[in-house]
Amino acid sequence: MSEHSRSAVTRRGFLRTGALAAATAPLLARAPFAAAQGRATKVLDFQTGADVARAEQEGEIVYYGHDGEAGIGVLLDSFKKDFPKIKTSYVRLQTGALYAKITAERSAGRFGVDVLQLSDISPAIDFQKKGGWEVHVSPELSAYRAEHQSSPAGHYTWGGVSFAGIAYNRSKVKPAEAPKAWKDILNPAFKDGVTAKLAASGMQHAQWYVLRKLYGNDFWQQFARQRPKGFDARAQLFDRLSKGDDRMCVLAEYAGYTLFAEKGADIEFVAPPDGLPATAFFIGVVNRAPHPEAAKLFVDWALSKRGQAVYQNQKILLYGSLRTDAGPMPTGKRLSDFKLLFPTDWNDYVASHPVFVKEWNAIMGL
Amino acid sequence: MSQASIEVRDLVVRYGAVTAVRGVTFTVGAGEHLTLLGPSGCGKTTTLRAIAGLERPISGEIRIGGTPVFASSPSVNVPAERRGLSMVFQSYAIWPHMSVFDNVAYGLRVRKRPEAEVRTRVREALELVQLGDLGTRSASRLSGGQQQRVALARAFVFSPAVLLFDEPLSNLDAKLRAEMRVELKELQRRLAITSVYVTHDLEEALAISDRIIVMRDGVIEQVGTPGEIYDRPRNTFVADFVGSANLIRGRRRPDLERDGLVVIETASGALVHGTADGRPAGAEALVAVRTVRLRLERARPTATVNAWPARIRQRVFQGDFTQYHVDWDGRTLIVRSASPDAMTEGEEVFVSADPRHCVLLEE
Amino acid sequence: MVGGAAAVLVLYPIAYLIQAALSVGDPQARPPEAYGLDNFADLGRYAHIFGNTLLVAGVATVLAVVVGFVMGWILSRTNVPGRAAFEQLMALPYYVTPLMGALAWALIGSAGSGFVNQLWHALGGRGHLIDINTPWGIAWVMALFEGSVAFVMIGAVMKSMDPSLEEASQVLGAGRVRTMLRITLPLVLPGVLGAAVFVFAEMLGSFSAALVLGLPSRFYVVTTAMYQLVSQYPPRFPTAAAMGVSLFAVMFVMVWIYRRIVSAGNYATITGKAFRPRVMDVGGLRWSLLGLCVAYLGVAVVLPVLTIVYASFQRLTTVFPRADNFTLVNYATALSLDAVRSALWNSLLLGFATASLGVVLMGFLSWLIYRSRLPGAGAIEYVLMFPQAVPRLVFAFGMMWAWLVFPIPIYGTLWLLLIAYLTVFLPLGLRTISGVILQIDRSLEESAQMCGASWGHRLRTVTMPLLKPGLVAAWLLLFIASVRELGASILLMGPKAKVITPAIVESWFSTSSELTAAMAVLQTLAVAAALAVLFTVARRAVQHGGE
Repeated sequence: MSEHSRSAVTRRGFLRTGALAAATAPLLARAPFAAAQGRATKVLDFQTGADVARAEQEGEIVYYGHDGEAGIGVLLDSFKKDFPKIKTSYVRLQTGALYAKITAERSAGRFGVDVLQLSDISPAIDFQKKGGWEVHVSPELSAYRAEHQSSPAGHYTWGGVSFAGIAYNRSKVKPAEAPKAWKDILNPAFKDGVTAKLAASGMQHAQWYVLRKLYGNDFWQQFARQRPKGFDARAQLFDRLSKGDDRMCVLAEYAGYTLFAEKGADIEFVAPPDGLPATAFFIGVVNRAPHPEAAKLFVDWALSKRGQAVYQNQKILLYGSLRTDAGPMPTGKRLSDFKLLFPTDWNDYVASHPVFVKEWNAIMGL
Repeated sequence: MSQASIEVRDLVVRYGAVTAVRGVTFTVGAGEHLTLLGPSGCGKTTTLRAIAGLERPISGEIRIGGTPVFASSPSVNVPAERRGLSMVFQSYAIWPHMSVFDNVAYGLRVRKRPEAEVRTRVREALELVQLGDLGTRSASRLSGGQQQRVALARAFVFSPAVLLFDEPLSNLDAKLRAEMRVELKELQRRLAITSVYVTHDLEEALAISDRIIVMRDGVIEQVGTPGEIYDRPRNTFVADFVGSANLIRGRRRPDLERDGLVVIETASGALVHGTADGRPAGAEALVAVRTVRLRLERARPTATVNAWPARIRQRVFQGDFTQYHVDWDGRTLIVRSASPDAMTEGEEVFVSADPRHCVLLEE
Repeated sequence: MVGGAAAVLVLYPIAYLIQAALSVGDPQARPPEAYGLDNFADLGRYAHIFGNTLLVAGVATVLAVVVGFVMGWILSRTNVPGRAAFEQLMALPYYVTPLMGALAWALIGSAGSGFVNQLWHALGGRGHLIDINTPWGIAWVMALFEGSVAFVMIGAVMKSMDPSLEEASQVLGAGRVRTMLRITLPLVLPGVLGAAVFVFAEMLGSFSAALVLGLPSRFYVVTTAMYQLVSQYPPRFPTAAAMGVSLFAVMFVMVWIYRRIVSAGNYATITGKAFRPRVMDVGGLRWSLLGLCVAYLGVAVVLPVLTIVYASFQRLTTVFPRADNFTLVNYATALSLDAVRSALWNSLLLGFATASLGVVLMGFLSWLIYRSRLPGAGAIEYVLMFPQAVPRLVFAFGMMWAWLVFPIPIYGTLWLLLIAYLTVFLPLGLRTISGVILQIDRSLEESAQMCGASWGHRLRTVTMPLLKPGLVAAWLLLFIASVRELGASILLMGPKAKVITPAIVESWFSTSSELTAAMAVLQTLAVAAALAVLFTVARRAVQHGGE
């Protein structure tokens, strides 16, 4: 890839959807497309670079992902409905453990994974360095901006966005105390009553990084005094918040909030004016997959309008779609309605990961 | 199968860290009933189990019916189940999950005898041990005595060449033991199988054996018929173990010996005439007299030798006999008398003994 | 030889564990780049975690032994009514398992939303009455369930005591209390100590209670810390392995101490000559003691099960029933999840396979060790009891590495789980079966030998039938243990090899507690149904075939 495009990816932020981006993006998007191998065929209502007949012959797909069991269940069931001849099986682990598992397996010569989905960019980039991704330029990539693809494209793609604000239990928090901005999470009144995710979470890394840049390194040191409790998954955070075990969650993912509010939980969501840390999940075909054509088909499906509808509209997943032609989320809002904060310098972001892990573990007591 | 003889030669058996049998040699004739007698720990059970094949000796040879079943060189070791022997265990080892019938039939079924034959022979065996009507009962509901009989029936039903008994009566109470002893002897007579019997009970051994081997600490002390063992013990141990005996020590008086008798003079000057029974006599000798072979009388006996004055010190009534502790020769003699004529303590009496019952012991 | 193969099964993963612990240099490199003791030196940083582990294990042991002793005393020495029934019921807490208990008590005792605290608030109380997410909470839950194990061991000790020893004391004029203090207690004490050491070793390696109850309050013990370390990115295998090896070393020493106590005192926990202990008439106290027994079973069995069932029918768990809060959606969701259905099926299948293969394998090994006179039997016994000293999670860790590189592709399949279960349950199976074998007098087999029966014939006609009740008990134990297994399964599952207990734990962490409760209930029902089916089939087979 040219020097020009690489710098475009690193320096470009997502809030800068200026003319320059608009002008260059289609160029970048088309360039890898031109280098795509094989022809694109239309299946159902999307384009795929996979040989569908072969894929159905392979008959199976092994998916490693980080979403909750129910979420993965819904995703794979939707795929199965569309392609009944292809059986699905999966492993669900938090991104950290998931990546550790797949690298351990590969280092021992076991290649049993077709599609990998991660919620943190560091392992995705690392996997690319290790040559773990199959370079598959999906025909559906034409609907994605360059900054939402790997560099070079075809390794992995940003399959959806989740963002997080603050959430609190209305019955446990007096209206006067209610947080409105990020600085409010440092309020000593909330000591021993706040939760966040553990260091294995990509979203947590993103929040740490972004707010650090905004408010300085001291911000999180002060937060440590709140003695926060850490959990594996957002369902746990919201479960406890809804029941009143905790008063406030500082990494309240919009998707989780929506789900629990619907169940009747007495919780409130706050979108601080400075912005909401956001992260994406990254999906791609794995190199030396046992069912390569099925894998490509799956990824193409996942990135298509069809697959994105599943990711975006299923309440248990609720990722905002990054497709340039995406519709609104089930709550009626679009991604553009929120001020999303993404890390601007990806290399710096990735390099900060070990620092984050060490600091966050200490904050969380491990 | 016909009866077989047993030859044991130079048998050495280790049991854990202890050498339980240290070089034992003996033979059992076909059809003979031999008993291994001795205190616990003397190696009798180990020897029996070695013959059975349940213990593996270090060295020696065992032959059954002339065929070696164990030899250290050239190495032979026929497993227990193929030696054609049978055994009655101390704990009876009746299988609780089978009926009496199935217990007894086991050995026949192992030998794949036809069912009709099995039924007949089991029935006969149970009749022989007087359990004819218990065939269908579950073996877990038997009394000790009944289990004993089932164990017996099970052991001989398939006509083994040799029957081994490992203290089979020791778990019974005294009365039952006495009864079973007689029944066993009758059974042995009827079946006429070579048998080796292990016990520590003297009366049992004397009652049922053709020959007895007395063992101590892994070696043989004496071999002989019950009468020989009883009346002519070889040494102090046998004399003491096989019935109660008084031991009298003294200096040989060859000048007084005649008629093939041996004479010793005790320290206090009493003269004891006894039999040497072919044993060499040194300058000093030890003579054993069974407590029941001493007679107590108020009047001086007419015998010329072995009649001494004494005084009754203590009298213990034992039912079948009365035991007297008698002061004689500066020491105590124990006399057992079946006579209903009781002596009183303190009485002056005469003690006498037939010289044939005063036996010279090897030291 | 079978014994050798079994030994390899045990030692192979341990070797890998030690290798990982000694690996310095790049933690991701395999095989390790360099070896050194740095990881162990590093463990100083985690001193507080070791401290936590000892604290929780210690408290739990004390509680469990007290429970075991008191219950043992009541049920074997007093004339409390219904003793025989209670003795059978005392096995129930073991079947409920620490995980179910932890889930239930999390619902009952969480500082914020726990049922007890909800009631407390409703009554006007402030703050919280109990907080289960503390070391004491963890120890409490662990003790409730391990209490039944302690009971079995201590009860056996009490039964092996000759009552005439106490009678002699009383005849000589000592009162009841004095007799108990001067005669009974000293005689029973070594056995109780042995049980305490054993329980302590088990507590050191426990995982599920600490996972469910400790994580929310940032309280880690060695096993949960290891789990965290290998679940994050980048994973820290060597550190985790070093922790595991340290824990293993401590548990090893404990188990060695236990065996010394047991063999020194010649305690009849295995050999079976039981006396009938003298029963004390406690008069009116009977009813209070009966109440105590009922209370224990209530708290350890009834309360958790009811709580879980109750929660499974609610939308958002609360102690106050509300008509609009009841729903079947949790069950609907659970049953619709392919993960649950296939996991349940896999668990039952694995349970059946583990129990059946296990009984045969362990029966054979037991016979080999305790009955045959082959040389090296003692050494094999020692090796096979190894897994007792290794927490399941740690063992699985070694297994993960060991089998990852194994040429035959069993990694990530149910076969691997089967091998893991068989290995990990060796001590359990061996202990149970050997207990029965040792009770069979040797002469029963010897007399069959003297009747001319060959080795195979003896095994079939005498040994096996006598062992049957013991084998059935062992089968049951293995079946339930493998369906409930967590520590090893959680590391060794694969995409097509999922089992139910880790799925329940995953659900707890990534979905709602109500759904998790529904899954737990489904698991229990599935096990009960499977057992019911098996027993009817077995009984019919026995009736038809006869033996």
